[in-house]
Amino acid sequence: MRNWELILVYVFLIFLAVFTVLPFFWSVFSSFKPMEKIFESTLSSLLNVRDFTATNYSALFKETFYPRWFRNSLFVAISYSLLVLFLCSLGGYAFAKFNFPGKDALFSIVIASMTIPIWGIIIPLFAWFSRLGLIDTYWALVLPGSANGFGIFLMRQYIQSVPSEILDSARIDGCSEFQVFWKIVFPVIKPASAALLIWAFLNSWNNLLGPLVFIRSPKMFTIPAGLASFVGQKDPQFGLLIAGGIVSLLPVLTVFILLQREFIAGLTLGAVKE
Amino acid sequence: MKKKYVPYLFIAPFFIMFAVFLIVPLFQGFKFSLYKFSMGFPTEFVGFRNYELILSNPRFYHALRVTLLYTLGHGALHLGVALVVALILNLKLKGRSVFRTIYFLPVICSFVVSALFWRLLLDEHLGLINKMLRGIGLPAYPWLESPFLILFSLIVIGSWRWFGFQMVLLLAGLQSIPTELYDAAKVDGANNLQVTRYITLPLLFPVLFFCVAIILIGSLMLFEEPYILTSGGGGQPGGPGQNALSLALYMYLTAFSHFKLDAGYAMGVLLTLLIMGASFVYTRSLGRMAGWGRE
Repeated sequence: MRNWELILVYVFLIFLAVFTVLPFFWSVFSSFKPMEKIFESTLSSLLNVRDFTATNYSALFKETFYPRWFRNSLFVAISYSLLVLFLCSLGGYAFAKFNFPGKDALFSIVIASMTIPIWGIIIPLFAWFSRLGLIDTYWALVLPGSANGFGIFLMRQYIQSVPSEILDSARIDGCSEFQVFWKIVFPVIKPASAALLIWAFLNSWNNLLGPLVFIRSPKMFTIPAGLASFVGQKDPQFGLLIAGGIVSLLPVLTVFILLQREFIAGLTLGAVKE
Repeated sequence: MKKKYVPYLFIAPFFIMFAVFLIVPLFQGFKFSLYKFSMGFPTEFVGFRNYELILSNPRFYHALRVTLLYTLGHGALHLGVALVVALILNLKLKGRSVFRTIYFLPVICSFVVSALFWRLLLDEHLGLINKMLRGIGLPAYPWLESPFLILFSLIVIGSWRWFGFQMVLLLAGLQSIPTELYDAAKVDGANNLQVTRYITLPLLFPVLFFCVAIILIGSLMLFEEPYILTSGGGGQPGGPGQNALSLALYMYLTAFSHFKLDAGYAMGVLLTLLIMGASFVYTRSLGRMAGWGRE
Protein backbone atom coordinates (compact mmCIF):
# COMPACT_ATOMS: atom_id res chain seq x y z
CA MET A 1 0.00 0.00 0.00
CA ARG A 2 1.21 3.50 -0.76
CA ASN A 3 1.93 5.89 2.09
CA TRP A 4 -1.03 8.19 1.58
CA GLU A 5 -3.34 5.21 1.36
CA LEU A 6 -2.01 3.95 4.68
CA ILE A 7 -2.56 7.36 6.28
CA LEU A 8 -6.11 7.49 4.94
CA VAL A 9 -6.84 4.03 6.31
CA TYR A 10 -5.53 4.94 9.76
CA VAL A 11 -7.49 8.20 9.80
CA PHE A 12 -10.63 6.17 9.10
CA LEU A 13 -9.84 3.59 11.78
CA ILE A 14 -9.04 6.22 14.40
CA PHE A 15 -12.15 8.24 13.57
CA LEU A 16 -14.25 5.11 14.00
CA ALA A 17 -12.47 4.27 17.26
CA VAL A 18 -13.22 7.75 18.64
CA PHE A 19 -16.85 7.37 17.60
CA THR A 20 -16.95 4.00 19.36
CA VAL A 21 -15.34 5.14 22.58
CA LEU A 22 -16.95 8.57 22.88
CA PRO A 23 -20.20 7.42 24.55
CA PHE A 24 -18.23 5.40 27.14
CA PHE A 25 -15.78 8.17 27.79
CA TRP A 26 -18.39 10.87 28.01
CA SER A 27 -20.59 8.84 30.33
CA VAL A 28 -17.77 8.00 32.72
CA PHE A 29 -16.77 11.66 32.65
CA SER A 30 -20.32 12.87 33.32
CA SER A 31 -20.90 10.34 36.07
CA PHE A 32 -18.32 12.12 38.21
CA LYS A 33 -20.07 15.44 37.80
CA PRO A 34 -22.42 16.76 40.49
CA MET A 35 -26.00 16.00 39.48
CA GLU A 36 -26.90 19.61 38.60
CA LYS A 37 -23.77 20.13 36.53
CA ILE A 38 -24.09 17.20 34.12
CA PHE A 39 -25.77 19.42 31.60
CA GLU A 40 -23.78 22.65 31.81
CA SER A 41 -24.68 25.25 29.24
CA THR A 42 -21.26 25.91 27.81
CA LEU A 43 -18.67 23.48 26.60
CA SER A 44 -15.88 24.91 28.72
CA SER A 45 -17.74 24.65 32.02
CA LEU A 46 -18.89 21.21 30.97
CA LEU A 47 -15.31 20.09 30.50
CA ASN A 48 -14.20 21.58 33.80
CA VAL A 49 -12.89 18.77 35.98
CA ARG A 50 -12.41 20.71 39.21
CA ASP A 51 -15.91 19.87 40.45
CA PHE A 52 -15.44 16.10 40.09
CA THR A 53 -17.20 14.17 42.84
CA ALA A 54 -18.37 10.64 43.57
CA THR A 55 -21.77 11.71 44.92
CA ASN A 56 -23.64 9.95 42.10
CA TYR A 57 -22.02 6.67 43.02
CA SER A 58 -22.54 7.03 46.76
CA ALA A 59 -26.18 8.06 46.24
CA LEU A 60 -26.62 5.09 43.91
CA PHE A 61 -25.52 2.65 46.59
CA LYS A 62 -27.07 4.38 49.60
CA GLU A 63 -30.34 5.85 48.38
CA THR A 64 -31.58 3.35 45.81
CA PHE A 65 -32.14 -0.40 45.56
CA TYR A 66 -29.12 -0.62 43.25
CA PRO A 67 -27.06 -2.99 45.45
CA ARG A 68 -30.05 -5.29 45.60
CA TRP A 69 -30.57 -5.05 41.80
CA PHE A 70 -26.94 -5.90 41.31
CA ARG A 71 -27.26 -9.03 43.46
CA ASN A 72 -30.49 -9.98 41.67
CA SER A 73 -28.84 -9.59 38.28
CA LEU A 74 -25.84 -11.62 39.36
CA PHE A 75 -27.93 -14.43 40.85
CA VAL A 76 -30.27 -14.61 37.87
CA ALA A 77 -27.52 -14.47 35.26
CA ILE A 78 -25.40 -17.14 36.98
CA SER A 79 -28.35 -19.50 37.52
CA TYR A 80 -29.55 -18.97 33.98
CA SER A 81 -26.19 -19.66 32.37
CA LEU A 82 -25.57 -22.79 34.47
CA LEU A 83 -29.02 -24.08 33.53
CA VAL A 84 -28.38 -23.39 29.84
CA LEU A 85 -25.06 -25.22 30.05
CA PHE A 86 -26.66 -28.20 31.79
CA LEU A 87 -29.53 -28.57 29.30
CA CYS A 88 -27.54 -27.84 26.16
CA SER A 89 -24.41 -29.88 26.89
CA LEU A 90 -26.46 -33.02 27.64
CA GLY A 91 -28.71 -32.45 24.62
CA GLY A 92 -25.85 -31.48 22.32
CA TYR A 93 -24.00 -34.66 23.33
CA ALA A 94 -26.96 -36.84 22.40
CA PHE A 95 -27.32 -35.10 19.02
CA ALA A 96 -23.60 -35.37 18.30
CA LYS A 97 -22.82 -38.93 19.38
CA PHE A 98 -25.99 -41.03 19.24
CA ASN A 99 -28.30 -42.23 16.52
CA PHE A 100 -31.89 -42.57 17.55
CA PRO A 101 -35.29 -42.51 15.87
CA GLY A 102 -36.60 -38.96 15.51
CA LYS A 103 -33.15 -37.39 15.85
CA ASP A 104 -33.20 -35.41 12.62
CA ALA A 105 -36.76 -34.18 13.10
CA LEU A 106 -36.06 -33.06 16.68
CA PHE A 107 -32.86 -31.33 15.64
CA SER A 108 -34.61 -29.41 12.84
CA ILE A 109 -37.29 -28.30 15.29
CA VAL A 110 -34.63 -27.03 17.69
CA ILE A 111 -32.83 -25.15 14.91
CA ALA A 112 -36.07 -23.64 13.62
CA SER A 113 -36.91 -22.55 17.18
CA MET A 114 -33.99 -20.13 17.07
CA THR A 115 -36.14 -17.81 14.96
CA ILE A 116 -39.07 -17.78 17.41
CA PRO A 117 -39.04 -14.28 18.88
CA ILE A 118 -39.62 -13.75 22.59
CA TRP A 119 -42.62 -11.64 21.52
CA GLY A 120 -44.50 -14.74 20.47
CA ILE A 121 -44.46 -16.20 23.97
CA ILE A 122 -44.16 -13.27 26.36
CA ILE A 123 -47.90 -12.72 26.96
CA PRO A 124 -48.77 -16.42 27.42
CA LEU A 125 -45.85 -16.75 29.83
CA PHE A 126 -47.00 -13.66 31.69
CA ALA A 127 -50.56 -14.98 32.02
CA TRP A 128 -49.27 -18.33 33.14
CA PHE A 129 -46.77 -16.98 35.66
CA SER A 130 -49.49 -14.74 37.10
CA ARG A 131 -51.73 -17.72 37.67
CA LEU A 132 -48.96 -19.79 39.27
CA GLY A 133 -47.78 -16.94 41.49
CA LEU A 134 -44.39 -16.81 39.77
CA ILE A 135 -44.54 -13.08 39.12
CA ASP A 136 -41.90 -11.33 41.22
CA THR A 137 -39.81 -14.47 41.61
CA TYR A 138 -36.41 -15.44 40.25
CA TRP A 139 -38.02 -18.44 38.55
CA ALA A 140 -39.73 -16.15 36.05
CA LEU A 141 -36.35 -14.72 35.06
CA VAL A 142 -34.29 -17.91 34.99
CA LEU A 143 -36.52 -20.50 33.33
CA PRO A 144 -37.76 -18.89 30.05
CA GLY A 145 -35.22 -19.20 27.26
CA SER A 146 -33.07 -21.75 29.09
CA ALA A 147 -33.84 -24.47 26.53
CA ASN A 148 -31.94 -22.66 23.86
CA GLY A 149 -31.53 -23.73 20.22
CA PHE A 150 -28.26 -21.88 19.81
CA GLY A 151 -26.81 -23.70 22.82
CA ILE A 152 -27.70 -27.10 21.39
CA PHE A 153 -26.24 -26.14 18.02
CA LEU A 154 -23.01 -24.88 19.58
CA MET A 155 -22.47 -27.88 21.85
CA ARG A 156 -23.30 -30.37 19.10
CA GLN A 157 -20.80 -28.75 16.72
CA TYR A 158 -18.09 -28.93 19.32
CA ILE A 159 -18.81 -32.43 20.65
CA GLN A 160 -18.80 -33.83 17.11
CA SER A 161 -15.06 -33.15 17.05
CA VAL A 162 -14.49 -35.44 20.06
CA PRO A 163 -13.35 -38.86 18.68
CA SER A 164 -15.96 -41.56 19.27
CA GLU A 165 -13.22 -44.14 19.95
CA ILE A 166 -12.43 -42.52 23.31
CA LEU A 167 -16.06 -42.83 24.33
CA ASP A 168 -16.23 -46.46 23.25
CA SER A 169 -13.09 -47.43 25.12
CA ALA A 170 -14.47 -45.77 28.24
CA ARG A 171 -17.62 -47.87 27.84
CA ILE A 172 -15.53 -51.02 27.50
CA ASP A 173 -13.71 -50.05 30.70
CA GLY A 174 -17.08 -50.14 32.43
CA CYS A 175 -18.15 -46.49 32.54
CA SER A 176 -21.89 -45.93 32.69
CA GLU A 177 -23.38 -43.70 29.99
CA PHE A 178 -23.54 -40.75 32.33
CA GLN A 179 -19.96 -41.34 33.49
CA VAL A 180 -18.86 -41.29 29.84
CA PHE A 181 -20.41 -37.86 29.51
CA TRP A 182 -19.22 -36.50 32.84
CA LYS A 183 -15.69 -37.92 32.94
CA ILE A 184 -14.75 -37.98 29.25
CA VAL A 185 -16.86 -35.54 27.23
CA PHE A 186 -17.42 -32.71 29.67
CA PRO A 187 -13.72 -32.07 30.45
CA VAL A 188 -12.86 -32.00 26.73
CA ILE A 189 -15.50 -29.46 25.76
CA LYS A 190 -14.46 -26.81 28.27
CA PRO A 191 -13.78 -24.13 25.62
CA ALA A 192 -17.28 -24.51 24.19
CA SER A 193 -18.75 -24.56 27.69
CA ALA A 194 -16.92 -21.37 28.57
CA ALA A 195 -18.17 -19.73 25.38
CA LEU A 196 -21.75 -20.81 26.05
CA LEU A 197 -21.60 -19.68 29.70
CA ILE A 198 -20.34 -16.24 28.69
CA TRP A 199 -22.93 -15.92 25.95
CA ALA A 200 -25.79 -16.92 28.27
CA PHE A 201 -24.56 -14.75 31.13
CA LEU A 202 -24.40 -11.69 28.88
CA ASN A 203 -27.88 -12.32 27.49
CA SER A 204 -29.38 -12.62 30.93
CA TRP A 205 -27.38 -9.74 32.41
CA ASN A 206 -28.57 -7.42 29.65
CA ASN A 207 -32.15 -8.69 29.47
CA LEU A 208 -34.70 -5.91 29.85
CA LEU A 209 -38.00 -7.32 28.64
CA GLY A 210 -38.15 -10.29 31.05
CA PRO A 211 -37.89 -8.31 34.29
CA LEU A 212 -39.99 -5.49 32.82
CA VAL A 213 -42.90 -7.87 32.31
CA PHE A 214 -42.44 -10.48 35.05
CA ILE A 215 -41.32 -8.29 37.95
CA ARG A 216 -43.57 -5.87 39.84
CA SER A 217 -41.82 -4.88 43.05
CA PRO A 218 -38.80 -2.59 42.71
CA LYS A 219 -36.77 -4.77 45.08
CA MET A 220 -36.86 -7.69 42.66
CA PHE A 221 -35.72 -5.72 39.59
CA THR A 222 -32.52 -6.58 37.81
CA ILE A 223 -30.22 -3.73 36.82
CA PRO A 224 -31.69 -3.04 33.33
CA ALA A 225 -35.26 -2.97 34.65
CA GLY A 226 -34.23 -0.87 37.63
CA LEU A 227 -32.52 1.69 35.44
CA ALA A 228 -35.48 1.68 33.05
CA SER A 229 -37.78 2.45 35.98
CA PHE A 230 -35.61 5.50 36.73
CA VAL A 231 -35.91 6.66 33.13
CA GLY A 232 -39.68 6.44 33.34
CA GLN A 233 -39.82 9.01 36.15
CA LYS A 234 -40.93 12.58 35.49
CA ASP A 235 -37.53 14.07 36.06
CA PRO A 236 -34.97 11.35 35.44
CA GLN A 237 -31.83 11.73 37.52
CA PHE A 238 -29.21 11.29 34.89
CA GLY A 239 -26.29 11.28 37.29
CA LEU A 240 -27.64 8.21 39.06
CA LEU A 241 -28.67 6.54 35.82
CA ILE A 242 -25.32 6.90 34.16
CA ALA A 243 -23.45 5.81 37.28
CA GLY A 244 -25.72 2.77 37.48
CA GLY A 245 -25.08 1.96 33.85
CA ILE A 246 -21.33 2.18 34.30
CA VAL A 247 -21.29 -0.01 37.41
CA SER A 248 -23.36 -2.60 35.53
CA LEU A 249 -20.69 -2.68 32.82
CA LEU A 250 -17.86 -3.47 35.23
CA PRO A 251 -18.40 -7.25 35.68
CA VAL A 252 -18.89 -7.79 31.96
CA LEU A 253 -15.93 -5.59 31.12
CA THR A 254 -13.72 -7.52 33.54
CA VAL A 255 -14.66 -10.85 31.99
CA PHE A 256 -14.18 -9.35 28.53
CA ILE A 257 -10.69 -8.12 29.31
CA LEU A 258 -9.60 -11.33 31.07
CA LEU A 259 -11.15 -13.79 28.62
CA GLN A 260 -11.34 -11.82 25.40
CA ARG A 261 -10.70 -14.84 23.20
CA GLU A 262 -13.39 -17.03 24.81
CA PHE A 263 -15.70 -14.05 24.94
CA ILE A 264 -15.55 -13.34 21.23
CA ALA A 265 -15.67 -17.04 20.45
CA GLY A 266 -18.78 -17.34 22.60
CA LEU A 267 -20.58 -14.70 20.61
CA THR A 268 -19.41 -15.77 17.19
CA LEU A 269 -19.13 -19.55 17.39
CA GLY A 270 -21.56 -21.31 15.18
CA ALA A 271 -21.46 -18.51 12.66
CA VAL A 272 -18.20 -19.53 11.08
CA LYS A 273 -17.57 -23.20 10.56
CA GLU A 274 -14.01 -24.06 11.47
CA MET B 1 -23.81 -52.15 23.71
CA LYS B 2 -25.50 -48.76 23.81
CA LYS B 3 -28.94 -48.99 25.32
CA LYS B 4 -31.68 -47.59 23.14
CA TYR B 5 -33.24 -45.24 25.67
CA VAL B 6 -29.94 -43.56 26.63
CA PRO B 7 -30.00 -40.68 24.11
CA TYR B 8 -33.55 -39.85 25.14
CA LEU B 9 -32.40 -39.50 28.74
CA PHE B 10 -29.80 -37.00 27.61
CA ILE B 11 -32.19 -34.88 25.59
CA ALA B 12 -35.09 -35.18 28.05
CA PRO B 13 -34.23 -32.23 30.35
CA PHE B 14 -33.77 -29.96 27.35
CA PHE B 15 -36.98 -30.98 25.64
CA ILE B 16 -39.06 -30.76 28.79
CA MET B 17 -37.99 -27.14 29.24
CA PHE B 18 -38.26 -26.56 25.50
CA ALA B 19 -41.86 -27.77 25.44
CA VAL B 20 -42.98 -26.07 28.63
CA PHE B 21 -41.37 -22.68 28.11
CA LEU B 22 -41.40 -22.34 24.32
CA ILE B 23 -43.68 -24.63 22.36
CA VAL B 24 -46.70 -24.70 24.69
CA PRO B 25 -46.74 -20.90 25.18
CA LEU B 26 -46.34 -20.43 21.43
CA PHE B 27 -49.49 -22.41 20.70
CA GLN B 28 -51.30 -20.95 23.66
CA GLY B 29 -50.51 -17.51 22.29
CA PHE B 30 -52.17 -18.45 19.03
CA LYS B 31 -55.19 -19.95 20.79
CA PHE B 32 -55.82 -16.90 22.95
CA SER B 33 -55.36 -14.55 20.00
CA LEU B 34 -58.75 -15.86 18.88
CA TYR B 35 -60.50 -14.75 22.08
CA LYS B 36 -61.88 -11.52 23.39
CA PHE B 37 -60.47 -10.55 26.80
CA SER B 38 -61.88 -8.56 29.62
CA MET B 39 -60.22 -7.96 32.99
CA GLY B 40 -57.37 -10.19 31.91
CA PHE B 41 -59.47 -13.26 31.16
CA PRO B 42 -60.65 -14.76 27.88
CA THR B 43 -64.40 -14.32 27.70
CA GLU B 44 -65.56 -15.05 24.17
CA PHE B 45 -64.26 -16.85 21.10
CA VAL B 46 -64.17 -14.31 18.29
CA GLY B 47 -62.20 -16.11 15.55
CA PHE B 48 -59.92 -13.81 13.59
CA ARG B 49 -61.64 -10.63 14.74
CA ASN B 50 -58.59 -9.45 16.72
CA TYR B 51 -56.46 -9.77 13.60
CA GLU B 52 -58.98 -7.84 11.52
CA LEU B 53 -58.92 -5.01 14.03
CA ILE B 54 -55.13 -4.81 14.01
CA LEU B 55 -54.78 -5.12 10.25
CA SER B 56 -57.30 -2.32 9.72
CA ASN B 57 -55.43 -0.01 12.12
CA PRO B 58 -53.16 2.52 10.35
CA ARG B 59 -50.95 2.62 13.46
CA PHE B 60 -49.96 -0.99 12.82
CA TYR B 61 -48.79 -0.18 9.30
CA HIS B 62 -46.96 2.84 10.62
CA ALA B 63 -45.11 0.63 13.13
CA LEU B 64 -44.40 -1.89 10.37
CA ARG B 65 -42.94 0.87 8.19
CA VAL B 66 -40.79 2.16 11.05
CA THR B 67 -39.52 -1.34 11.74
CA LEU B 68 -38.73 -2.07 8.09
CA LEU B 69 -37.01 1.29 7.59
CA TYR B 70 -34.93 0.64 10.69
CA THR B 71 -34.06 -2.87 9.53
CA LEU B 72 -32.96 -1.61 6.12
CA GLY B 73 -31.06 1.45 7.34
CA HIS B 74 -29.45 -0.22 10.32
CA GLY B 75 -28.58 -3.36 8.37
CA ALA B 76 -27.05 -1.57 5.41
CA LEU B 77 -25.13 0.97 7.50
CA HIS B 78 -23.51 -1.27 10.06
CA LEU B 79 -22.91 -4.24 7.82
CA GLY B 80 -21.26 -1.91 5.31
CA VAL B 81 -19.02 -0.36 7.95
CA ALA B 82 -18.25 -3.77 9.43
CA LEU B 83 -17.27 -5.14 6.03
CA VAL B 84 -14.95 -2.24 5.24
CA VAL B 85 -13.33 -2.46 8.68
CA ALA B 86 -12.95 -6.23 8.47
CA LEU B 87 -11.31 -5.96 5.04
CA ILE B 88 -8.91 -3.33 6.39
CA LEU B 89 -8.06 -5.19 9.59
CA ASN B 90 -7.46 -8.34 7.57
CA LEU B 91 -4.48 -6.54 5.96
CA LYS B 92 -2.41 -7.26 9.09
CA LEU B 93 -1.83 -3.59 9.88
CA LYS B 94 -0.06 -2.51 13.04
CA GLY B 95 -2.41 -2.17 16.00
CA ARG B 96 -5.16 -4.25 14.47
CA SER B 97 -5.93 -6.14 17.69
CA VAL B 98 -6.30 -2.83 19.56
CA PHE B 99 -8.79 -1.59 16.99
CA ARG B 100 -10.63 -4.89 17.06
CA THR B 101 -10.99 -4.74 20.85
CA ILE B 102 -12.19 -1.14 20.78
CA TYR B 103 -14.78 -1.78 18.06
CA PHE B 104 -16.09 -4.77 19.95
CA LEU B 105 -16.64 -2.87 23.22
CA PRO B 106 -20.22 -1.65 22.54
CA VAL B 107 -21.36 -5.24 22.00
CA ILE B 108 -21.04 -5.95 25.73
CA CYS B 109 -23.25 -2.99 26.66
CA SER B 110 -26.84 -3.70 27.47
CA PHE B 111 -29.47 -1.99 25.34
CA VAL B 112 -30.40 0.08 28.35
CA VAL B 113 -26.86 1.27 28.94
CA SER B 114 -26.28 2.14 25.29
CA ALA B 115 -29.56 4.04 25.13
CA LEU B 116 -28.63 5.97 28.30
CA PHE B 117 -25.15 6.78 27.02
CA TRP B 118 -26.56 8.12 23.78
CA ARG B 119 -29.28 10.11 25.43
CA LEU B 120 -26.53 11.97 27.26
CA LEU B 121 -24.87 12.74 23.92
CA LEU B 122 -27.86 13.47 21.71
CA ASP B 123 -30.20 15.51 23.91
CA GLU B 124 -31.26 18.59 21.95
CA HIS B 125 -30.45 21.27 24.53
CA LEU B 126 -28.12 19.52 26.90
CA GLY B 127 -26.30 16.86 24.89
CA LEU B 128 -22.60 16.97 24.09
CA ILE B 129 -23.00 16.61 20.33
CA ASN B 130 -25.10 19.74 19.94
CA LYS B 131 -22.79 21.68 22.24
CA MET B 132 -19.83 20.71 20.08
CA LEU B 133 -21.76 21.66 16.94
CA ARG B 134 -22.60 25.06 18.40
CA GLY B 135 -19.02 25.41 19.57
CA ILE B 136 -17.79 25.29 15.98
CA GLY B 137 -20.60 27.52 14.75
CA LEU B 138 -22.94 24.92 13.30
CA PRO B 139 -26.65 24.67 14.04
CA ALA B 140 -27.88 22.23 16.69
CA TYR B 141 -30.24 19.45 15.71
CA PRO B 142 -33.13 17.89 17.66
CA TRP B 143 -31.67 14.37 17.33
CA LEU B 144 -34.22 12.69 19.56
CA GLU B 145 -37.02 15.23 19.25
CA SER B 146 -37.69 15.47 15.53
CA PRO B 147 -39.79 12.85 13.75
CA PHE B 148 -37.20 12.46 11.02
CA LEU B 149 -34.06 12.46 13.12
CA ILE B 150 -35.30 10.05 15.80
CA LEU B 151 -35.26 7.14 13.35
CA PHE B 152 -31.89 8.24 12.04
CA SER B 153 -30.56 8.38 15.62
CA LEU B 154 -31.91 4.92 16.37
CA ILE B 155 -30.15 3.59 13.29
CA VAL B 156 -26.85 5.19 14.29
CA ILE B 157 -27.12 3.96 17.89
CA GLY B 158 -27.96 0.43 16.79
CA SER B 159 -25.08 0.48 14.35
CA TRP B 160 -22.70 1.76 17.01
CA ARG B 161 -23.66 -1.16 19.19
CA TRP B 162 -23.49 -3.94 16.62
CA PHE B 163 -20.91 -3.20 13.90
CA GLY B 164 -18.11 -4.65 16.03
CA PHE B 165 -20.02 -7.89 16.30
CA GLN B 166 -20.48 -8.22 12.54
CA MET B 167 -16.85 -7.20 12.06
CA VAL B 168 -15.63 -10.06 14.25
CA LEU B 169 -17.79 -12.54 12.34
CA LEU B 170 -16.53 -11.23 9.00
CA LEU B 171 -12.90 -11.23 10.16
CA ALA B 172 -13.21 -14.86 11.20
CA GLY B 173 -14.65 -15.59 7.76
CA LEU B 174 -11.86 -13.71 6.00
CA GLN B 175 -9.20 -15.58 7.93
CA SER B 176 -10.62 -18.90 6.83
CA ILE B 177 -9.99 -18.07 3.15
CA PRO B 178 -6.87 -20.02 2.00
CA THR B 179 -3.97 -17.68 1.25
CA GLU B 180 -2.96 -19.72 -1.83
CA LEU B 181 -5.93 -18.23 -3.64
CA TYR B 182 -4.58 -14.73 -3.08
CA ASP B 183 -1.11 -15.77 -4.16
CA ALA B 184 -2.49 -17.33 -7.34
CA ALA B 185 -4.44 -14.17 -8.13
CA LYS B 186 -1.36 -12.02 -7.54
CA VAL B 187 0.62 -14.22 -9.93
CA ASP B 188 -2.09 -13.74 -12.52
CA GLY B 189 -1.69 -9.98 -12.09
CA ALA B 190 -4.94 -9.10 -10.32
CA ASN B 191 -5.00 -5.81 -8.41
CA ASN B 192 -6.33 -5.35 -4.86
CA LEU B 193 -9.80 -4.33 -5.99
CA GLN B 194 -10.11 -7.29 -8.34
CA VAL B 195 -8.96 -9.67 -5.61
CA THR B 196 -11.58 -8.30 -3.26
CA ARG B 197 -14.31 -8.42 -5.89
CA TYR B 198 -13.59 -11.84 -7.40
CA ILE B 199 -12.04 -13.83 -4.54
CA THR B 200 -12.72 -12.35 -1.13
CA LEU B 201 -16.39 -11.38 -1.43
CA PRO B 202 -17.63 -14.59 -3.10
CA LEU B 203 -15.80 -16.75 -0.54
CA LEU B 204 -17.11 -14.56 2.26
CA PHE B 205 -20.67 -15.06 1.09
CA PRO B 206 -21.64 -17.79 3.62
CA VAL B 207 -20.60 -15.55 6.52
CA LEU B 208 -22.26 -12.47 5.01
CA PHE B 209 -25.37 -14.56 4.59
CA PHE B 210 -25.29 -15.47 8.27
CA CYS B 211 -24.73 -11.83 9.29
CA VAL B 212 -27.80 -10.72 7.35
CA ALA B 213 -29.88 -13.46 8.99
CA ILE B 214 -28.89 -12.23 12.46
CA ILE B 215 -29.55 -8.62 11.48
CA LEU B 216 -32.97 -9.52 10.08
CA ILE B 217 -34.10 -11.34 13.22
CA GLY B 218 -32.58 -8.77 15.58
CA SER B 219 -33.82 -5.62 13.84
CA LEU B 220 -37.39 -6.82 13.40
CA MET B 221 -37.51 -7.23 17.19
CA LEU B 222 -36.28 -3.67 17.89
CA PHE B 223 -37.63 -2.69 21.29
CA GLU B 224 -35.20 -1.63 24.02
CA GLU B 225 -33.64 1.46 22.47
CA PRO B 226 -36.88 3.19 21.44
CA TYR B 227 -38.40 2.20 24.78
CA ILE B 228 -35.62 3.84 26.77
CA LEU B 229 -35.10 6.80 24.45
CA THR B 230 -38.74 7.83 24.21
CA SER B 231 -40.19 7.10 27.63
CA GLY B 232 -39.74 9.40 30.59
CA GLY B 233 -38.21 12.85 30.62
CA GLY B 234 -41.41 14.28 29.15
CA GLY B 235 -41.16 12.13 26.05
CA GLN B 236 -44.13 10.18 24.83
CA PRO B 237 -43.98 6.45 24.13
CA GLY B 238 -43.40 5.96 20.44
CA GLY B 239 -41.36 9.13 20.14
CA PRO B 240 -41.88 12.26 18.05
CA GLY B 241 -44.32 11.63 15.22
CA GLN B 242 -44.50 8.04 16.50
CA ASN B 243 -41.42 7.44 14.39
CA ALA B 244 -39.73 5.35 17.06
CA LEU B 245 -42.75 3.09 17.33
CA SER B 246 -41.37 -0.30 16.32
CA LEU B 247 -43.72 -3.26 16.05
CA ALA B 248 -42.36 -4.76 19.26
CA LEU B 249 -42.75 -1.49 21.16
CA TYR B 250 -46.28 -1.14 19.78
CA MET B 251 -47.10 -4.62 21.00
CA TYR B 252 -45.54 -3.99 24.42
CA LEU B 253 -47.52 -0.76 24.87
CA THR B 254 -50.73 -2.43 23.73
CA ALA B 255 -50.42 -5.41 26.04
CA PHE B 256 -48.65 -4.04 29.08
CA SER B 257 -49.50 -0.32 29.17
CA HIS B 258 -53.03 -0.30 27.77
CA PHE B 259 -53.73 -3.87 28.95
CA LYS B 260 -55.44 -4.81 25.68
CA LEU B 261 -54.54 -8.47 25.93
CA ASP B 262 -56.56 -9.65 22.93
CA ALA B 263 -54.80 -7.25 20.60
CA GLY B 264 -51.49 -8.08 22.30
CA TYR B 265 -51.91 -11.81 21.73
CA ALA B 266 -52.75 -11.30 18.07
CA MET B 267 -49.81 -8.94 17.59
CA GLY B 268 -47.51 -11.49 19.21
CA VAL B 269 -48.61 -14.03 16.63
CA LEU B 270 -48.21 -11.54 13.77
CA LEU B 271 -44.73 -10.56 14.95
CA THR B 272 -43.74 -14.22 15.26
CA LEU B 273 -45.04 -14.97 11.78
CA LEU B 274 -43.22 -11.96 10.36
CA ILE B 275 -39.87 -12.88 11.91
CA MET B 276 -40.06 -16.63 11.33
CA GLY B 277 -41.43 -16.04 7.85
CA ALA B 278 -38.73 -13.57 6.93
CA SER B 279 -35.96 -15.87 8.11
CA PHE B 280 -37.57 -18.85 6.40
CA VAL B 281 -37.94 -17.09 3.05
CA TYR B 282 -34.45 -15.66 3.37
CA THR B 283 -32.74 -18.96 4.18
CA ARG B 284 -34.75 -20.79 1.52
CA SER B 285 -34.01 -18.32 -1.25
CA LEU B 286 -30.34 -17.69 -0.53
CA GLY B 287 -29.38 -20.54 1.80
CA ARG B 288 -28.46 -22.92 -0.97
CA MET B 289 -26.05 -20.42 -2.46
CA ALA B 290 -24.38 -20.05 0.91
CA GLY B 291 -24.02 -23.80 1.26
CA TRP B 292 -26.54 -24.15 4.06
CA GLY B 293 -28.39 -27.37 4.48
CA ARG B 294 -25.45 -29.26 2.99
CA GLU B 295 -23.54 -29.64 6.25
